[in-house]
Amino acid sequence: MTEGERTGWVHDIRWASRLAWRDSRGAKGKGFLYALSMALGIATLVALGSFGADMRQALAGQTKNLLGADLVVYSRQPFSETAQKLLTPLPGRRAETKRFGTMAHFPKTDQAVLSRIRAMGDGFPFYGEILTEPADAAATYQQGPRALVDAVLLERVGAQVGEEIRLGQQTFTIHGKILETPGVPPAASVMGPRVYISLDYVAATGLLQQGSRVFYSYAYQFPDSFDGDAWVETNKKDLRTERLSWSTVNEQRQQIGDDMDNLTAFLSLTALLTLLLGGLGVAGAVHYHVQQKTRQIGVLRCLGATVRQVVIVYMIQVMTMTLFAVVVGVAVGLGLQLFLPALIREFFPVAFEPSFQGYEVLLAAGWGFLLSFLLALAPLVAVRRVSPLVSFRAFLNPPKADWLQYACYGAVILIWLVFAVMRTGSFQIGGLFLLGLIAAVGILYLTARLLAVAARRVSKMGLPFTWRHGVASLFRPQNQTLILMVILGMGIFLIAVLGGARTMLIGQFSDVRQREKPNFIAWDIQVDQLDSVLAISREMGVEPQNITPIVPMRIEAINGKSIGDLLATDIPHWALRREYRSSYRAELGDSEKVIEGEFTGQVAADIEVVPISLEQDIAADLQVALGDRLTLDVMGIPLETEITSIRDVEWQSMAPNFFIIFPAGILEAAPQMFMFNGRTQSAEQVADLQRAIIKNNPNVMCVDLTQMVKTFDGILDKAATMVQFLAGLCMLTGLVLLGSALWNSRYQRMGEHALLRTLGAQTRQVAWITLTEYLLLGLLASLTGVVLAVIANWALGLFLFKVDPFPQPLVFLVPCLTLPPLTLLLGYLSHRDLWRTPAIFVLRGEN
Amino acid sequence: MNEILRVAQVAKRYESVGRSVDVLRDTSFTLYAGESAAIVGPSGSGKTTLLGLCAGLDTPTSGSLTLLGADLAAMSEGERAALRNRKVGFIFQSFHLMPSLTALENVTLPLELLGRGNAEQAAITLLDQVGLADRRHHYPAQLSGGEQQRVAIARAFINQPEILFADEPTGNLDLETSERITDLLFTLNREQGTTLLLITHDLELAKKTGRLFRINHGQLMEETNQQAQIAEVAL
Repeated sequence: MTEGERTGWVHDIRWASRLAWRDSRGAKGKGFLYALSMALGIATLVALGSFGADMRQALAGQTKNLLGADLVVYSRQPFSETAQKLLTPLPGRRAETKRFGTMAHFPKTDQAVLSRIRAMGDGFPFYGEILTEPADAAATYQQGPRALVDAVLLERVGAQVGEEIRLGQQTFTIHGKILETPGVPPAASVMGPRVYISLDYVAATGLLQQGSRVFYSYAYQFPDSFDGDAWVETNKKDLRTERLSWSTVNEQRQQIGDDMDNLTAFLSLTALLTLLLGGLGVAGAVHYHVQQKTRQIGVLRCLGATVRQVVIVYMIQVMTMTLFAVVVGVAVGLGLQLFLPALIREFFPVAFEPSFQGYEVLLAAGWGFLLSFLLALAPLVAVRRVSPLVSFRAFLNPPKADWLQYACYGAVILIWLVFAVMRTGSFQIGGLFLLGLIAAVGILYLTARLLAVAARRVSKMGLPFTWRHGVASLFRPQNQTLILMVILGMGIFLIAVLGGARTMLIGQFSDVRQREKPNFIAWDIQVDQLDSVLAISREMGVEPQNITPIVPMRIEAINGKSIGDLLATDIPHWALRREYRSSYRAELGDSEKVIEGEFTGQVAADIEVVPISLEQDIAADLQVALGDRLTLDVMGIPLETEITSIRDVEWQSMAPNFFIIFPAGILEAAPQMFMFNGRTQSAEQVADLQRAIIKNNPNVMCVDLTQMVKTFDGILDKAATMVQFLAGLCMLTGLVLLGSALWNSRYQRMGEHALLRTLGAQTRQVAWITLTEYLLLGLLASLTGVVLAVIANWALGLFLFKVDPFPQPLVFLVPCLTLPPLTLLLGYLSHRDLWRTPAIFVLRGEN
Repeated sequence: MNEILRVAQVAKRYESVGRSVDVLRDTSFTLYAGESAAIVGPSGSGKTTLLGLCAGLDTPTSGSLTLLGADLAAMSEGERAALRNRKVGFIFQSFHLMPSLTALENVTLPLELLGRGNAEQAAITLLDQVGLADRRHHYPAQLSGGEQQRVAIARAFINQPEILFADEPTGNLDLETSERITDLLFTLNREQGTTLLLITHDLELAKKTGRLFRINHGQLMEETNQQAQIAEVAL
């Protein structure tokens, strides 16, 4: 070593840093643009990680408030003597509550709205407080005929605190406006606004009549020494026998926590997938970068640079790009975090403010850095294999992939798996999540590939020159067409599936929107009220249709096996415990058809075993078939029945449908209620009819389905925002990646354009070739996403929602039409200056 | 005289798609300090392969190469890189300047690799010698082909190499520029006492060197100037 020379790691890094900086001149924008696609993925990881931590903290801080008690035991019928005995030994405080639905009438504005009534015993909730305006209303409303009313409801009817609200036969003073109820997400208020009254005034309303749907419950506050969970565990069997259900704080927290963890895990993994796809784009770019630099690397090696020194140069560039992605990603992620609570607030039972979650930020940044770095490093390791001899050769064999490259990609998959397992807390679920996402991307990739092959074939079928070249340009080496099709396709897929699912859900109510179909339902009409209610309806211009009797009943036994024994089987508990609101008819309606057996429409009143018809899904849930016997408890009287037919029911029709249909002739004398529906012409007519009906029949409930569908649509809109957020992120990442790929190949394109123009192509033709390429890219990406979305929607419609999967095919067309103009615009903006550059400048290298 | 490069019975064989190609056979020669030599031959004759072997960029199938007293076969890649960095210079047909580095930065590159101080001053002096001191902050894209090759020559001489390998140094230049580059190359070569081994198609350039080797089908033969002139006439 000559005097003054420096060697070793420090020198190598210093020299490499200087060269890395110099080498990046003029290419920093390109590098940073690529980093941006990674930054978007990291930003989502940071935002969702922090958001998940915010939610967990919010839940942890308000565990008991979620339930308002240590234990709540529910029943769908008044607690039996045995049930009371079972609960008597429970120590501490107890509060009784009753929940039921009714029309709440606001005399001042003369409006009636279907509401959920909560009649609360003294002291409930034991934990947490109902936030009201005025603040002390929650503490004093039980001291008289006073009611707390949901703010949403007051706003809807234009009522104020201090005015009156009428529930059945009792008038209450609106004592306070409910702003927040512990454990109740705001969306619940929109679908069913709540009114709180004291339990002492329930009887005065006269609403709890025979056959009314009421949920009874006892809430308990235990002394610290008492273990409620252990008590439930010990008495589970007896509770089930008495058809009681229960919630403990731990179960409630676990359930909400699990739901939220699953949601954030899914979102995080999808974000990670976006990061991975963006990262693959970057890997492609680095691969191209290395290819471009091969000769330079050879020269450096000739000049005496060691492999280590050369690798460090490019490693520093990649690390800088990745660090930039992490810094930008963290900053953007922290910004996004501020908006996320608002997206989920409607569905989350606890309000919370976003706070800085250092650990989550560090974790997300760490994962993001590792993944991004490995993805960028994989193509970089090829630098090691560049021979200095390449400086002398005109044609080069590209360096082959080696084991280190495969190790990098292997590490990426491993890191992803570890992340998935950590996020879901289960190797199995994490693995399944990962497999699911890989399968989704695999299918997207295959679809993209098939479409690409098809496009190539089509281009050979005598297309005009510009179109042919446009298609060919799609598949130039560093275009990353397939990656772009996958990532943009994923965005389109999410948007189209979301849109499709929504139209399916709303489509179930499409009858409501049809002019002649019923859009108004009234139910819980007592026998002695029926004639007057029907008369009112006719007077108000609404002809009652489908006047149907309803007889509530419960399952006592199936094939002689008691409910207690059945609860120990794998038959869903809800199907065994629920109250079956059934009907009887001589003929089946238009919206149902027998698929097995034969429907019996009429029987003699003294028949011993009544032939009944079951809806096919409930039959499957109850694990029964034709010939099986059900013992039904009809208002205390056991009735032996036999399944003689199974029906397929169109639930989405507006006709009254039931799980169990009896023949005429047997239930006519049983205690029953009626319902009917009709067609109203306007919201005003509905309001008038509701007012007129409940004026003298306060227990009757009515609903305007048109309004309900609108509300439901609004809720779906809010529920969709999280997925839309992810879809938007995918699209943005894809577009950033597209911009980057474009920049990457800019000089190659510039040369090709100049050459084409030199050979006689007109600027218009060159421009058309480029625009064709971008239009096709947008179209192919859209098609990739939409093809999959159509398949996904078909499966959803067929197996989950069980409705027509494509009520509005337009929903798939809209995203299809959005992306191509976007890519076209991007292509135009990025190329217009290239078209203007004189060819000679380009060929001389003077651009 | 000091022995700078000794090539002894070197052969190089490439295996390609199931068949082997002998690019070089039984090649031997020795270059001494201050000598200049040219290797001529048609395309594909093995010139570049021989140059790569002599510079320690590749390894022979058989035979031995001793560069500046060091047995190249016994050295690791790192040691060969260090040797090139300290004592070897390169000039390429396509100049191979780093496009993102200025002329000055390109010239200082080998000294910076060595970690030597005052690289910049030495580079400016050399750029001055090649007549480009005032263009030192220009990027390669802003220089003509001849200027780029002058920068490459300055880069090749910055570490005062004991041997310089030049691959068709005038191959991409017009006649007038070629002559100026050739003069510059030989002047610096003389001034610094560097040994020069160049490969070229240009017999005029080759004749300016002290020794001339002709390579054909992997066989190397040394020719006298008289033999070269006969060959030229025959062509």
